[in-house]
Amino acid sequence: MKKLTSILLALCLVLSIGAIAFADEAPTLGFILGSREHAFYCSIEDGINAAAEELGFEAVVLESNLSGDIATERIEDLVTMGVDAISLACNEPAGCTQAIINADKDGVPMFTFDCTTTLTDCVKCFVGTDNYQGGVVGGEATIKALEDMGMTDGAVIGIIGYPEPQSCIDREEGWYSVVNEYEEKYNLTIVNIGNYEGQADIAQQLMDGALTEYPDMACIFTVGDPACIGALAAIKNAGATTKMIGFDANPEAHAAILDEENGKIWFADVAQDPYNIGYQISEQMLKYVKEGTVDEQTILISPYLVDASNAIPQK
Amino acid sequence: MQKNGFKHFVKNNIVVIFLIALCFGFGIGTSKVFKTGNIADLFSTSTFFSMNNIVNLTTQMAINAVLSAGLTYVIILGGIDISVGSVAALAGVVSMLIAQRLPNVNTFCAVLILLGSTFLVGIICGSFNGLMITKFNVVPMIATLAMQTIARGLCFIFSGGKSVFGVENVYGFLGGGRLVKTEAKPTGWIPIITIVVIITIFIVHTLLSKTVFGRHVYATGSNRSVAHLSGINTKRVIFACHIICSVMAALAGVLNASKLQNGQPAACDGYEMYAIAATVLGGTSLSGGRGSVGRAMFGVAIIAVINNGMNLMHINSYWQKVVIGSIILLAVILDMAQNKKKD
Amino acid sequence: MKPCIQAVHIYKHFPGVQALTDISADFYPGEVHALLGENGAGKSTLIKILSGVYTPTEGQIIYNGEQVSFDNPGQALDAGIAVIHQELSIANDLTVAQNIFLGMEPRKKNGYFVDTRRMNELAQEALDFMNVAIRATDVARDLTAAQQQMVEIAKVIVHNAKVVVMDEPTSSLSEHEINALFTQINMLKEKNVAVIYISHRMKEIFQICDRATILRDGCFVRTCLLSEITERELVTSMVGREMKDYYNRQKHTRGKETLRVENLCGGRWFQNISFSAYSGEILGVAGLIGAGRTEVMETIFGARKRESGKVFVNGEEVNFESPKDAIAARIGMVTEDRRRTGLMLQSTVRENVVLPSLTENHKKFNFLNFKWEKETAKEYVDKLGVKTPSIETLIANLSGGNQQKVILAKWLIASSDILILDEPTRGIDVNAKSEFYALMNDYVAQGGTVIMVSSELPEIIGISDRILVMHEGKLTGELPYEGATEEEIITLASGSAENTAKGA
Repeated sequence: MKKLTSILLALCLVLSIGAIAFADEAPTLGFILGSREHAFYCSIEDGINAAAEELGFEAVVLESNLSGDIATERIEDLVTMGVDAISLACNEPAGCTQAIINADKDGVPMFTFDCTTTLTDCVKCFVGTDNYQGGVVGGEATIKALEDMGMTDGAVIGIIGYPEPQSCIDREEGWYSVVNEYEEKYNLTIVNIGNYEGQADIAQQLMDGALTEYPDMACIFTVGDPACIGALAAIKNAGATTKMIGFDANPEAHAAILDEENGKIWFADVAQDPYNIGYQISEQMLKYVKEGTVDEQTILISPYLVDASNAIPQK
Repeated sequence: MQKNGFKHFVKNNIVVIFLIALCFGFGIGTSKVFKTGNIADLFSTSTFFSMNNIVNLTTQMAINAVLSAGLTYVIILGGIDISVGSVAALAGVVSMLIAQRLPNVNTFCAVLILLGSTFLVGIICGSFNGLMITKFNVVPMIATLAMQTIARGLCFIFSGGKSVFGVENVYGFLGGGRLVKTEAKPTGWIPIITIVVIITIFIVHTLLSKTVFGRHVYATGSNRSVAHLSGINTKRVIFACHIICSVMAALAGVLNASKLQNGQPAACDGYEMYAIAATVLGGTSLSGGRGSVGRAMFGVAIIAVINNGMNLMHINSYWQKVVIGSIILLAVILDMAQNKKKD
Repeated sequence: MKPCIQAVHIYKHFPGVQALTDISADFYPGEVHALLGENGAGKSTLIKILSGVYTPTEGQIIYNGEQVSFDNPGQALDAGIAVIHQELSIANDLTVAQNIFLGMEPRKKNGYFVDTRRMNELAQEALDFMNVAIRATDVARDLTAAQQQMVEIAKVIVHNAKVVVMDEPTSSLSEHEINALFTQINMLKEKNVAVIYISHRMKEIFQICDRATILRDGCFVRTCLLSEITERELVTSMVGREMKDYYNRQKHTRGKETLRVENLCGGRWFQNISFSAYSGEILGVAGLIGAGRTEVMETIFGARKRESGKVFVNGEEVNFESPKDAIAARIGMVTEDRRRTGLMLQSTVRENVVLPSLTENHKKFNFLNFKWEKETAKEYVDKLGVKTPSIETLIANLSGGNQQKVILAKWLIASSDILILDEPTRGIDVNAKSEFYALMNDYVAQGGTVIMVSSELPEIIGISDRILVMHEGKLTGELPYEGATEEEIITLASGSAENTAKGA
């Protein structure tokens, strides 16, 4: 009986390996997302899947839980599966660069999206958002909001940050680069409201405190949409008139901007284009697999500002 | 004995004294006392002691208070529940999904719907934990670790990985509404969430300290064989405690989601650690048999005051983590010291 | 002959307590010296001073003619003073040899690795010297309590100890195991070891000890040769007053049958147990440890699943799923291990005493009735003479005898008609025992039924009205107390009666 079971199991194994090896002639591309827990990466996945259907390839999509170690394991898994190319969101470059180099040596071309690594030059192509530029867009929007309100003397502005992932640190730096220039000119008080750690209710607590200290805070910028959700609740509770610019332009951001009441506070959001990132990285990978070249080594998809004029109504 | 009266008092109330010291520390730290040199300015100039901040503090404590209250039950049993954060998130997501599909209701119905989803998620998750522990004798740490992962996974499955938004404003009443609106504060002074939490804490505290069931919980935690041999159905007690714990966790999650009018699948990640820390700070023994919901609230207050105070003093968030970690360590050492004293 | 170790005018003061006042005692090589006194008399404090756990406030320890002062038990052990505690310090998952050499393992030449082969040889040598059937390579977990004790003694031999303290070594041993232990003690005597022996069992003391030192309330009472003193005199010195009838035997009138057990079987523990118990009667259950007595009682109480058989309470058949059902049928059980299964040590006297009665005495909606709790706890503490500062004192702070009274009170409050007592006087002192017997007598006089499991034969004969004897899971005899002798019970309990019958 035991023997029969093991023979059957072995047969299944051989068949399934065979199925993987011979089933389709279309190239198989491997993708490693940061984490499906973020709407951002889910949109990238949508872009990948759309590309797979339209351009004709097999997509294997995994996630690394934002950790370099896990990314390393995933890369090794994909290499073992024999995919034709791999791209990943390199959230923790130090933890997975060696695996990228190894995979490249094994003859699997490596690509990055969203975040990349500067520790090796074997990456064929990087498609991502220019996060620093996104911060700059947010900074410019902050200053414009002050000008529109006529608060060009002595206004208080703030930022809710998340100084742990590299992308959020870049956004924060981009924002500071703009507002610091105007600090003296407009006599600004610039408040670092704190680290919201990706949690909406921590953002609310931080904003509660900031409004207690600066009840007339004019405008804030956040490095992620969950922070805006928390801050929105805090601002409404305090009955304040603070304006707010978010980052990511998730569906709830579009909804809030178009909402009559919430839109007065959450008036704009810096949008990345995750769908496009997913689609374009797929294109580049496929091109490399088929033709051995890419369009450009770095393709930066510039973030843009979403406000009432271009927000998309949500169902 | 008389001589040791003061020492004894300090020893028994160390947590309360620590809390008061913290409040004054942050009070002074956020005031202009040093600039003016007049101690009388403390209350008038301190941001920490401002009415707004005190009200905010009560709402900031709310989530952890409810989580800790439920956890107190299972920790008194000598168990643990590390799934509370995920169960909270799941309840938040589920309640907002239900709310999304039921627009156009009045405030009363909205509150009922939110509470209904609390019990729905709480009882299901609690039964799962309780069943694993009593029926299949899985160690509580492992059973709730499984629940933690399962609930978090369900959060993302139900929400499709995106936050659940777009619910009617009435659903924000329970978590974000305020009463006593004045001209100075048109949004209102007294947060509904604070009232809900106070009532909840009162009920679970009374259940534990004043009822036969509560005494059975202590007996089971203190010595399970004695409790069993004294005619207590210890399995049922353990089962009930896990349901209470999960319902409390679900309530925390629903209040959080209602406050933000948004169900975030990644919400309350790691909050079980804060809740355990608060419970232990409040004198609940990790080895079981001792503790109280009321005293756990002092632990909750300490953690909330530290977070709030450090934010107001603009202390770097990295340092905040170091401080909270140290406080948790301190709490466990206190617990060990008390156990040692008993031997 | 010179004394091996001497305590000279020892005083020990703890904050708020004078534990020892002017204690002097000499212990000679090759003598078994009993250290007697009620619980709290200062025996353990003295032992802890001798073995380096405490340092005396005043006074000296003279060891081999030199004044010594030990900072910790390790130093005392190195000097040759070993203590065998009541709760044995055996690591269950190590082998016998590993236990014997724990902390002083023989090393190989390089000094880093344990020389297992030599360790096993040396251990086996010691065990063979003792003439016990234990292998050095056995795992400690598989040994019986008595065998583990032998391992402790082997440890003493290997350490070459000059002074050995034994704290209640027989409390968990059965009669024939005790005899084996005494053989080893005699062996130690021959090796010129000074043995300090602590026990509450008078019979044993006269059997094995040469001299006795008696302490009372931290003070020295007397040292005497046991050959020159009677048991009565000894008890009087310990208690400080004359004890008239220790067991306080009273005439009970047997009432109706309250409990009947028919062909009760419990797997490998016991088979076909049938007996009856009556109101107004103390039914003693004797037998060796492991004879299945505790298991029978636990099965009757619903704490253990039964395999087959019937139980009747007051003539009606019952089927207890859990102790809850038994308690509802007014049965109470005092378990043999107070600390593990009898008490909530972190709770107060009040919380312990009302536990089984809570469900019946609450107010509306399950709210606790604190007034009732306080009044009842107070009433029973007074009635049973529990010595406690208040009903809110932690139960852990009470002496063993008082803890046992609290457990009894617990079942009296639950108005139990049938009380099962499993080794109710284990580890409690003479005075407290006597008080406990009086309480049992009162209870029975009021129509209660008592079933008492005990390994102390004098107690079984002294207090029971009727005696059941068990051997290896079977009932081997039933005797009336009049005329019952220890020899008769031992014969039944060791199964030799059965063997003789078969032989004939």
